[in-house]
Amino acid sequence: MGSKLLATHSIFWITSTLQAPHNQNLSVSIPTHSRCVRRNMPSIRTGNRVALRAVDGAEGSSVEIEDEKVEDTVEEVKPLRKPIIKLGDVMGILNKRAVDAAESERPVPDIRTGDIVEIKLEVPENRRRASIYKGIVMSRQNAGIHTTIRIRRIIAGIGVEIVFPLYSPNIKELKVVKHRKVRRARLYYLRDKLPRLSTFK
Amino acid sequence: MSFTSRCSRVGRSLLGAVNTSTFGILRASHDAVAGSNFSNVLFQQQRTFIQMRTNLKVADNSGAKKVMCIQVLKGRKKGAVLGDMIVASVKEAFPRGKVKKGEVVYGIVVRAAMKHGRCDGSEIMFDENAVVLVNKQGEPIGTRISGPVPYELRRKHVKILSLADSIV
Repeated sequence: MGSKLLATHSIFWITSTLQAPHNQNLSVSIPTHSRCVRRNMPSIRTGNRVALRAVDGAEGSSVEIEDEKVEDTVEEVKPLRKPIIKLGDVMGILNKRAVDAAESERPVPDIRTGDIVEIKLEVPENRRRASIYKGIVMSRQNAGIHTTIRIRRIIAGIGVEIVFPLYSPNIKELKVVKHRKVRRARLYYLRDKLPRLSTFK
Repeated sequence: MSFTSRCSRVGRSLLGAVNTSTFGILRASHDAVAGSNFSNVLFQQQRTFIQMRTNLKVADNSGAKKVMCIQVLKGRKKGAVLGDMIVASVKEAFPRGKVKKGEVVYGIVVRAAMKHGRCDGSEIMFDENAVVLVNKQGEPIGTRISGPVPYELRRKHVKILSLADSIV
């Protein structure tokens, strides 16, 4: 028979009888606010190992507490103090929010200088089928939501450079086709080089 | 090509190059390259508006090869950009063409080295300045257009767009 002990804050029950044989484990549930425990502790035969389990009625989480050392200090965890938002952080936070919103609509792959990418752009004023821009990424300028990449390509014999904002909603598809090994962050030297180096089929 | 862009190309071979008086300034600043901002400015390309005395390439088959801008008709104080009409004088022409050398013609700028911003935040820039010769009403004189053409011309110069082979 288990003996029920009164507890003010949580559910309390003994799962197996106190008159259990020697080796059996007894599990006893005690309330988290255990100030009442010491007083109401049933007399348990010292031979038995007791595993006490405290069940918090509201959350259902259980904490295993050793017999004698029932700590008094299991108090409610204080919520961490929110860091104060300073004026200098505001732009960073706004940019991060905008980037997260744009990323959730269309995830942007990791693009670095030297990638050869293909962009499908749909501009309302162009009104036709989405135009495709292919070329080598000459530079990437990080500026929060206005992070841009500069694409260079030789079109019909003339070099064209276009700067695209990465998180623009007009960009329907953005994928990396190839990668060229470059040892610079900005490839402005391509402007002086042979057109062959900026040509992509 | 402008003086500054020519300098940026020659800059690398400065030390071994034949010395002329015009490049003397550059050489002096090249020695003090470490902290000096002045030399950087000279080595970079200066891409600005198309204004009086700007040489432009002709992108159609009207007979002219090179023109020089005389006047910018848009009313913009600083100069012409992509899509503007200019008055130009033909400096170099094919022997049998519709226009001759020395004629004063109108033209629409179809490629500009200066970057041109678009409404969606993108920017476009070409490697050269080019123009398509038109008459006063804006209709092209030539029958074919070479090279890419931006879609900024869609507003007013639909005829040029229809003649172009690639629209950027």
